[in-house]
Amino acid sequence: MRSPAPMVFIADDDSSVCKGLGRLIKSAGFKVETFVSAEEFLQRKPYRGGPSCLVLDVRMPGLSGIELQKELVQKGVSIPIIFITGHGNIPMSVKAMKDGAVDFLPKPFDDKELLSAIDRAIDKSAQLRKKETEKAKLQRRVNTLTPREYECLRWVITGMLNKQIAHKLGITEKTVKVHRGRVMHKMQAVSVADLVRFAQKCGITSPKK
Amino acid sequence: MKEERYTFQPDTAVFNTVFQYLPVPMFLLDEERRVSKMTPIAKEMFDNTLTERENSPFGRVVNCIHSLDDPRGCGFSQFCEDCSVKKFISDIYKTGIPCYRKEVKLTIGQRRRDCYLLISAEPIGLPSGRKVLLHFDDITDYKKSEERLQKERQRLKDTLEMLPVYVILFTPDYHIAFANRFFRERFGESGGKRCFEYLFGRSEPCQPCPPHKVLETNSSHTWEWLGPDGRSYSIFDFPFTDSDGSPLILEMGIDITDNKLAQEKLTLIKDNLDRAQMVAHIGSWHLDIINNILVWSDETYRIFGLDIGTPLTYDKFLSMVHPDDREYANKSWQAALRREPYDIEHRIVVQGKIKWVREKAQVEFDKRGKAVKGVGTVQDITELKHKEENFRKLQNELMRVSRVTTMGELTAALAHELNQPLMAILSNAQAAQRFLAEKKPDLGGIREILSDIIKDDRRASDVINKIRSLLKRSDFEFVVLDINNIIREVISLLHSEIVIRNVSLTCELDDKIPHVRGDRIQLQQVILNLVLNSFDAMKDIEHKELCIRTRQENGKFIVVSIRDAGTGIGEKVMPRIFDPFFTTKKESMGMGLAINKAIVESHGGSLWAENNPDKGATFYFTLPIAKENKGGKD
Repeated sequence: MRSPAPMVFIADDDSSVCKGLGRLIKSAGFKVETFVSAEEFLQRKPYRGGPSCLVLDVRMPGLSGIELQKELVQKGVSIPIIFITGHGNIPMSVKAMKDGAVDFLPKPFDDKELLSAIDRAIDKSAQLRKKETEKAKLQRRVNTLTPREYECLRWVITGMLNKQIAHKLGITEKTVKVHRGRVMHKMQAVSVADLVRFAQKCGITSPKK
Repeated sequence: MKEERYTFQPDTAVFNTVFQYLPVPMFLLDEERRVSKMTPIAKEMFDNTLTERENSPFGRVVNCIHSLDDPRGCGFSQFCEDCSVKKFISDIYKTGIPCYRKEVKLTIGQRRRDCYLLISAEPIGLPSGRKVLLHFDDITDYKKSEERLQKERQRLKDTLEMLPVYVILFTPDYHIAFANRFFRERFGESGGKRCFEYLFGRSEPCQPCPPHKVLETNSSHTWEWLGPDGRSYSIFDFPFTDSDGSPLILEMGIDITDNKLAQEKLTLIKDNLDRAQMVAHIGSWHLDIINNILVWSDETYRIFGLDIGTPLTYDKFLSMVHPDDREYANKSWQAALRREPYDIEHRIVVQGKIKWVREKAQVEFDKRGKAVKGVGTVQDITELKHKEENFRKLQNELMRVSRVTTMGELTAALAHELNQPLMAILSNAQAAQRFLAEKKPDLGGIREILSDIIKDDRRASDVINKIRSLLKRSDFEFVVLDINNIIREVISLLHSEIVIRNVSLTCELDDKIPHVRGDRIQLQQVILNLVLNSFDAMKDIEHKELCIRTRQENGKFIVVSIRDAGTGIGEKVMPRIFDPFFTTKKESMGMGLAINKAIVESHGGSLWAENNPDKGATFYFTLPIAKENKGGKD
């Protein structure tokens, strides 16, 4: 299944740590790229080559690991992060986990600990990628909808009847029926339940009643 | 009988012959005091050049100045009215009664010599008429010596009267035969009373009577007397013999009341001084350098544990100095003799026990610059030394504790510092294991890994050594060192902290800074603490700037300044920041700056803080430049 090899990014301000971790991870069959600061990592162009994860030092000069995580979340980059730290504390790790870190490893840690964390992170990355691919596919379908059809979709997923939707939109029940049919077709949905699931995946919300 | 004399008719020739040979000065005078005859000795005595002596007036013959002045001869001058010679002779002619040994004074010759004569005159009848036979003794010399003696005696008496002491003569029956003015003024006239009666109003002699001792022993003796005037006298009694050979007592009394008071005052002062010296544990001494005589105060004897009064010399003193300090003490003293200040601390051995003393002295020199004497103090500082020693131990302990505390604050940074190489080592080693598990191990890669492991291991042990040197418990060791090196060491220790906290550090270290003398670890601690403080002050500041600077000032001091861009020091806080247990931080004990100050001051420097004009604060400390600035180990 793993072809090409997943990518592991390492960001640690200590170059010998970067080097050592890089060797270890590489020997386990991953592709590796190292960065000696958070800023350097941010400058890299987004990676599209397959599942990947980031091994990230918490304390670094300039942007710290935690700050980088925040930055990535804001940018919508969803890469699983394994935090490593020289002197982590519990509140810090809890916060990091809540913000989506896969693991929190206090230095020094064992290769098994690290590699199993990387495995988990790569799995998560693969899942994320799958979700994202699906979402992108659905999004492309949504993009084909006219504004009226989109509006119609938002009402349909609330479970309202055509008549009620017509009333809300101030159009005839017949027109609603036509729009609904087009939406079902364009979204390649077989049932209303399908439509609801797709809309959810794409983050489409129902209007306020 | 009178008649007989006038009727006596001697043989004239015989009389003339007898008169010629009489071996005494004699004149035969007529009623008008003309000299009818005179013996050759009388001629000799007056040595008159007058040729016609016979029948010349008596005054002219004897060269009486009044007769010489008046051409009419003896008895006509105005002075002659009172002339005793004239009176005697005319009286004899009138009364016929002879006179014997009457003293008369004549002024004789142009040189007006006063001449004392003892005159005896006898009326006689001669065929040539009534005459007076005048015989005289020249007693001038005797009179003159008598006068001199009188004057001499008067002078002696005046002297006695003038003496500021009393002089009296006692008789054995307690009468005062003589008392000089001093005595009379003090005690009044005796009025014939016996001494005990008029001095003390007693009816019986004093028992015993000290002056009487002289009569028993026949030798002088001295004693002290409290007189009825309430004053004290020092009395000297001597055996004395009166002119008639009877025993007397000569007594001399000197008023010593003032001396006694002065003496008492002096004793009191000395007493007070002794007591003060005893309380203060400070003794004094005086060294006569020329004769090598050392005099100690009682307290000095006590300090040295010697019996008061033990004879002393400089060498005796030196022998009591602790053998290890003897050369130092002697050298210092020899230097003092060359006008160098003398203020030293050294040990002495007192009955096998060691005592610490501080000595100060001043040497006095004569006009030629020769050291004559030394005056000094010696203070027993044994207790002080013990306290100092205890204090030093406590301070060491406290400083060690504070170092540990400081280290606690550093733990986070140090854990990071240590974990980094450990992490690198671990991952490299495990990577190597994986390399080896391959069918064809990449030996080149493994070699690379191993060299990286060694490098990181060294890095880790460096960190551990630094921590160890900081935590090491050791007595402080003052060596000559370069402050810049110490600053660099501290910075290297804090490197990751500086990086992580995003502090921008500038170092402006003067390359030519002279060396200082100090304890490396203590100075490291001061700088470490000041830098950590500045980090805290800049915790919430965006642009964290730290500047460490060294420079020298007026060739005496080096100045280290640590300038931050933090929040600065509040006006109310500023005066208290160096107080022990004063802190503005929750997790701090508040000892850091107090200890820093103690350390810097124990190095002979000072530590202070100032707010910067723009932002933040600067801590400065100075250290004296080491004297032996060349070739010191560092």
